[in-house]
Amino acid sequence: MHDAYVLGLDRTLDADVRVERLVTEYETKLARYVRRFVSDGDFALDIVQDVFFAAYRMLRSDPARELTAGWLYKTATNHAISYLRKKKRRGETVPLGDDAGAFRTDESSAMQLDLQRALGALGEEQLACVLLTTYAGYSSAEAATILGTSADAVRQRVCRAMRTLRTSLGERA
Amino acid sequence: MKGDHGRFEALAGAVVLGEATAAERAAFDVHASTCATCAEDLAGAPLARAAIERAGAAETWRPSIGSLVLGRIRDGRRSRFRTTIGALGWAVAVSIVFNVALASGIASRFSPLGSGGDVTSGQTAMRIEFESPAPRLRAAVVSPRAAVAVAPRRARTVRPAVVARATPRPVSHPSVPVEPADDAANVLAGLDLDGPSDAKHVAIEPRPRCSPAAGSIAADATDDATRCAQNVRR
Ligand SMILES: [Zn+2]
Repeated sequence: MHDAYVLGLDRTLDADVRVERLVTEYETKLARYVRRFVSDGDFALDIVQDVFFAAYRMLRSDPARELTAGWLYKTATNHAISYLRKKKRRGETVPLGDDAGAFRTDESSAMQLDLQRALGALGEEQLACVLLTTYAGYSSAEAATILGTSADAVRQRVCRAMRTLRTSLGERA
Repeated sequence: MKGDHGRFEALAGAVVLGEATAAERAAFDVHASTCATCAEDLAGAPLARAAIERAGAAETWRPSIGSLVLGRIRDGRRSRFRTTIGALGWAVAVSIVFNVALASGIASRFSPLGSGGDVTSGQTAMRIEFESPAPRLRAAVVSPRAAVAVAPRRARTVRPAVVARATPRPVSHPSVPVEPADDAANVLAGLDLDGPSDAKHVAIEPRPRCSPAAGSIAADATDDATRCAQNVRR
């Protein structure tokens, strides 16, 4: 269970040392999660930097505070949702054009690209539920805590998201 | 679809995520046997889930932002350090200037009475002292026939042997002959009591009739000086 794992372990350490450990352990996982979310590697890195810097500020101001992986994902998810909403308000579509190369370099590139387009068609809340549970490995209860909702709401969104994904992927297949 | 279909969607989600209990799974299966949508969800969801998991497993992107994050932290810390050092520097500089001004006596030039000294008039001798930083009354008996006054400010030049602390305990007063009233009045008149000086806070001492306790000086030197002056003129 991720949330039970308190990060930044030794509270006697300076905030920057604790954040350095967090970065070492979570930068890749978190960056990949956010890139899946926003479909843009550069913006994903900006968001992840902001998340770690926010963690640093938090630990500096309150060294006794517990910091969990869930907090990192929650903050990253909020940033990602905010980013996607701004894009939608400006009438921009999910990019993938510029960043598709990044996904294509992975194995089974066609499948990756199709999946990314299908994920891009989901609403932010469904996307968050699907990625937190099936991609980041959280249970519906943990995802519910991260998103501030109920486990049943997460499960319901996962069900609906899977329906949409199935349709999108089926159309592309 | 039925009105409570949302409940079965939640159950379908639990089944897809592998979180459904046996009872939940059984309830969902019963419902899915009569609901085409849920039956499709049950059949198709594992496919979508597997696609996401495969994509995750196939990721090769390994960004390295550690140096960027730590650089940003260091920049912030440097900036805070510069601010702190700057503030400390200013404090030290101001303190040095202030102390140099005091030590060199520059500050006293701005006082009409300079750094204090002895004033005599007739049979009365008076010493003016300045003390810093906290104003504190101090009495010094300069001559057997003298009364003394004090004002807060700077340099202390009183001879220690004859200094009597004004507060707080009552001190038995040395037998000093009381000077003629006119002398005290003259001394007061000789001082520029109208000027903007701390020396206005003058207490005449010792004068048993001016002070509630013989040998002590009242905290409010101005009142005493006024009272004394009135007594003297009487
Ligand atoms: Zn149904």
